[in-house]
Amino acid sequence: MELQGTAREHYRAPRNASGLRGVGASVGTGTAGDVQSGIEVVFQIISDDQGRIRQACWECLGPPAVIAAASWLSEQLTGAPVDDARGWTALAISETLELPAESVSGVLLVEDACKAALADLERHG
Amino acid sequence: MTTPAELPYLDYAATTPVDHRVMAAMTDCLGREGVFGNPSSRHPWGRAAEALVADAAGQVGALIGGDPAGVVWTSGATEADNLAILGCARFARERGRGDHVVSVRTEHAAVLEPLEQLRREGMHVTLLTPEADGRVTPEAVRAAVTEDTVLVSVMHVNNEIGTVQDIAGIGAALADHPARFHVDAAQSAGRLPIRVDAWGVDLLSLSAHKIYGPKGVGALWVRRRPRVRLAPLLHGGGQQGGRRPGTLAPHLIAGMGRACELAQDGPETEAPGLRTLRRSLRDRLLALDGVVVNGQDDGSPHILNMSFGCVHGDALQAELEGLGVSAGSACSSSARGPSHVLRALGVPDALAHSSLRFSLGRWTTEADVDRAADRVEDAVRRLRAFSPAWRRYRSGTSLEALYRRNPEPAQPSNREG
Ligand SMILES: Cc1ncc(COP(=O)(O)O)c(C=O)c1O
Repeated sequence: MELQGTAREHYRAPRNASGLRGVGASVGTGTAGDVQSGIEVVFQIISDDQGRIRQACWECLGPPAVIAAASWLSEQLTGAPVDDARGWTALAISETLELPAESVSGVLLVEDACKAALADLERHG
Repeated sequence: MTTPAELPYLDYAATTPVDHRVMAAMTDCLGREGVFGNPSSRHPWGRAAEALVADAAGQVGALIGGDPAGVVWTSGATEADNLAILGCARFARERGRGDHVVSVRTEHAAVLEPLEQLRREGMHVTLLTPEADGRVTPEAVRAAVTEDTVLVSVMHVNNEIGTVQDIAGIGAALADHPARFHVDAAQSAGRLPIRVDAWGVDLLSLSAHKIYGPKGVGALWVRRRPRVRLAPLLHGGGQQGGRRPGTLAPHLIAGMGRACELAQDGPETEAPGLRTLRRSLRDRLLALDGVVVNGQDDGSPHILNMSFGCVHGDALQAELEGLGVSAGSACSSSARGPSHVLRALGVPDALAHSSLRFSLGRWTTEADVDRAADRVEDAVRRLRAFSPAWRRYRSGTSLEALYRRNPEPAQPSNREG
């Protein structure tokens, strides 16, 4: 499972990895997957008071493609309007990063964790 | 793909390079001036080859403490295992002696697959589940045999985890039972002493390429007294008493013989050094924390299998690109899913997936082990830096709890950076 181009770069040097915060207003955290089934993704989104994403960070126990996807998505989200974040799907991420077909199920967990983080943000918002 | 010589090769359990002394013995058989004859021919060329084969059988016999006349040359340990299991069980069943075979879940595929074939042929197979360290006790083996049992097969050293079975103890437990006792010794040869006579072993499989000999040759040692008989797998010109017909390959046999000769004092000369290297690798990697040794803490001197918690197996493998170690289900293709050996030990699949087998050999140096340990440490640390599992492990959740259940959701606690 060789990663190409941007995906490879993100896997080699992940952006916004780790550094999660605790619960708070303007902080949304979401988790998908679990250790037992092999892949777990945690996504966290912190908004500013203008409805933009000030910071997106993540944690991932997973194969290279999923790590790359989480890193890349966090970069896309940083600075973007919160409402835009809902648009990213696993398929779109996989296509943009030219990820191998077999990694889609793992990338879905990135999408799920991100969506869960947004929902959490709404609750805390 | 190139195999960069500056990277350490730590996969000696998969195969070994041929020792140059073995190579010399082999090339002596190939050319016009060499011992190239057909060992079955009755002219001088044939007789020279026959003598060479007899010498090689002597070298095999000496390595395992058994009668050289019992040596049957095969294409490797896979064929030796098949011949032992299918040959012995079918022969016994044809004679109405019984239809039950006992073995262990952690055996090599070369044992498990012929057992599956016996099942398809209507025989009964009991596969014992080992203890957590991979051992089966002689009592457990003894308790599994019935009056219908015709064969017991237990490997000496496990190829994935290096667990050493108590072959002498199992042999003793079976001493008063007519079942034949087969041992796959492909991994133990040259690393641990083997004594077929003293241990009550009836059939023993060996492979040359695990002991610095060539690929494509092995041997099944078959007890002569009391005589152990086999239904052959191949039918042909009657060579090797019909047990395994086909023209013998003097160059391969000479190579295997020489390899056995060189392996004979391996348990005293090479094993202690390997054991020291294995321990230092084990201790360095254990210091990473969240790491478990699969199998015995001090198993075979040349094999170390460890699971690295809180990292994903594919990512670990990607990080170790180019390092000569086996990942996941070691010996066979890693695409086959979780290792049946680690499963039998009760290792959770996700943890088994991030396991590595390091196997050391004749030319492994301290520097090799250090470089491998450096690479693995870097890889594990890098991946753990953003692993939610590692965060939970660090805040007190055990590996056991992490991998068996996933109780609490990954709600990060308040903490700095
Ligand atoms: C324990 C064991 N048995 C059997 C085999 C098969 O040996 P060969 O490659 O000689 O067929 C191997 C190695 O792959 C092994 O490690």
